[in-house]
Amino acid sequence: MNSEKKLFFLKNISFSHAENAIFSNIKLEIMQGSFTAVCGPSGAGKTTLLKILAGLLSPDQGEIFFNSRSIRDYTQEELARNRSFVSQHLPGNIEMSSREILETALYYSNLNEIEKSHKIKESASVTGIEHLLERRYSTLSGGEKRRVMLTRGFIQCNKVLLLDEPTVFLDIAQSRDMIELLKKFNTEHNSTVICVTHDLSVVARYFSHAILLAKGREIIFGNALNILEKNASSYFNVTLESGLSPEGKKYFLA
Amino acid sequence: MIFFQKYRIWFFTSLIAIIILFLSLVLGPGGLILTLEGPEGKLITHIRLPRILLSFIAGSSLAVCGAALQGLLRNPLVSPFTLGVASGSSLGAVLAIRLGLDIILPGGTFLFSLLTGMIVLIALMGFSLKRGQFGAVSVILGGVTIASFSSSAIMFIQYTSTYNESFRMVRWLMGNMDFVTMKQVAGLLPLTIPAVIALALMGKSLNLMALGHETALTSGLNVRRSSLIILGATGIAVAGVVSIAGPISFVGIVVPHVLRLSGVHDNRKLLPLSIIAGGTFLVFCDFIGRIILAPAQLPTGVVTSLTGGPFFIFLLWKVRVYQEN
Repeated sequence: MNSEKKLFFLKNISFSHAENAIFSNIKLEIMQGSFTAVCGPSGAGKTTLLKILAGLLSPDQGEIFFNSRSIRDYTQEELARNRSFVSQHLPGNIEMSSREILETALYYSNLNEIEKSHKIKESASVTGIEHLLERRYSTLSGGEKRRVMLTRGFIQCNKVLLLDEPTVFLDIAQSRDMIELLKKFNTEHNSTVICVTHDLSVVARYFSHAILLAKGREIIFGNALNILEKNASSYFNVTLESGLSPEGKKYFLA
Repeated sequence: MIFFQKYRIWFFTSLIAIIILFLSLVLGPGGLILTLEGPEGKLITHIRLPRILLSFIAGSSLAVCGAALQGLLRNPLVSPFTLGVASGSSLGAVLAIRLGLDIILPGGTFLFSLLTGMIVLIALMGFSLKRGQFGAVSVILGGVTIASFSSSAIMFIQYTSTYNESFRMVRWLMGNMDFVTMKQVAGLLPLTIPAVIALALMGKSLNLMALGHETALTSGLNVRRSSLIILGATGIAVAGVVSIAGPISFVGIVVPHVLRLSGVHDNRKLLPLSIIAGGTFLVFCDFIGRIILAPAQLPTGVVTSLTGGPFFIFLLWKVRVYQEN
């Protein structure tokens, strides 16, 4: 893992939506090279936090530093080159091919056609969707569509990936493959991955850091296992049981 | 071979375009004309050429506008007339005829119709951005309402008109290309050429917008600016075309869909191909309108739906590429 450098630093952020205060005066640090989960019960503001990090929403008060520079000083192009955002919502029925969708990730790219096509092929082989490149997006399964959209984000910027519930509607095996792919981005490509997820067992098993939110409570961040152990039960309002798997990995059960 | 496969659709579309343009220039009810001299040559240069040019400009503008709007509003049923700009232009033309402006002032119908089209466009653009964010549903509903208002207003004006005026109005509303001069065609170019070029360059942005608002924004696209450019360019092109050729229906909806059914879904290809195919389709329809009842001439707007409709139904039935639900 990288040296402890702050990638995101949120200073006294307040955000409200339709006069409902979602965050008031929060402080948050996300380290470069981390594999960070954003978790908390429904309605806690996980997606809102992710969108604030992505620069899609601007806070009412406070300052966000991205790579030690205020996010307000970035142009849209600079942001596009320095982070990518993968939405929870899959685009509707698009008749374009997967390749054509992946090409949209290179909106600001200076690469020529051959380099672009090389980059797409290379990234598709990382995520294992080479065989889907010429297929029309509307004919793909839900899992394949998610994989295409994830690859799209990886092509746009693989340094920082912000993902909103990338495993929603996927079955157990697909979810595991998806998370393992994200872990691979993190370890092999030095991507900082920030991911909203509901699945605490996945957080315990794969993630290095976690951010825990709940309505009306202080935001907590730090080592994923510590947070699950100390705070998750009270934030989710359930009793979490923990134990050790035969391989010595900690697991949590609700 | 790979090169040919990649550009196959361009090759075929251009080939068909060249054949149809050439045939409609030299072929007529009187047979083949292969000279540019004498009275027969004059028929080609002074009557057929401006007409073919106008048909091509009108068809290509309407088709590219349709393709761009279907992408922008993410709705396959949208046509260039959904915006209500064409209805506004029609209302202006009908009003001009009722007031006798078409007789007092040469080109009076054109100017009046263009003016009302632009008023509708400005209103619509303001309306679409009322809450700061571009709203596709607001634009569609607003456009449809304007269209319906205009058609009622047109009926009201027709009701109060004389037989003669009413006849001229109906003829105008059918969409027509007879008796155009090079001067009229030239007057249309400053409006349509910049608009069509702007639209042809929006393919990359439209592809991004198809992926959803958040993806487009975080990829660095200025969604609001792109939406306004598309809306503005379409409005200008449509108002220009309708003011001179009348509301020619169906080109803007059928041409982009025929291209999609042939496998072109990438807007970077769809928009330029719509320009070629739309222009060719309208030249073809005008050609049919010229010869089928010769020496009488069928209005182009009637031919477009009569020939394009059955063909499109056939394609929809034959090729099922649209994912339902």
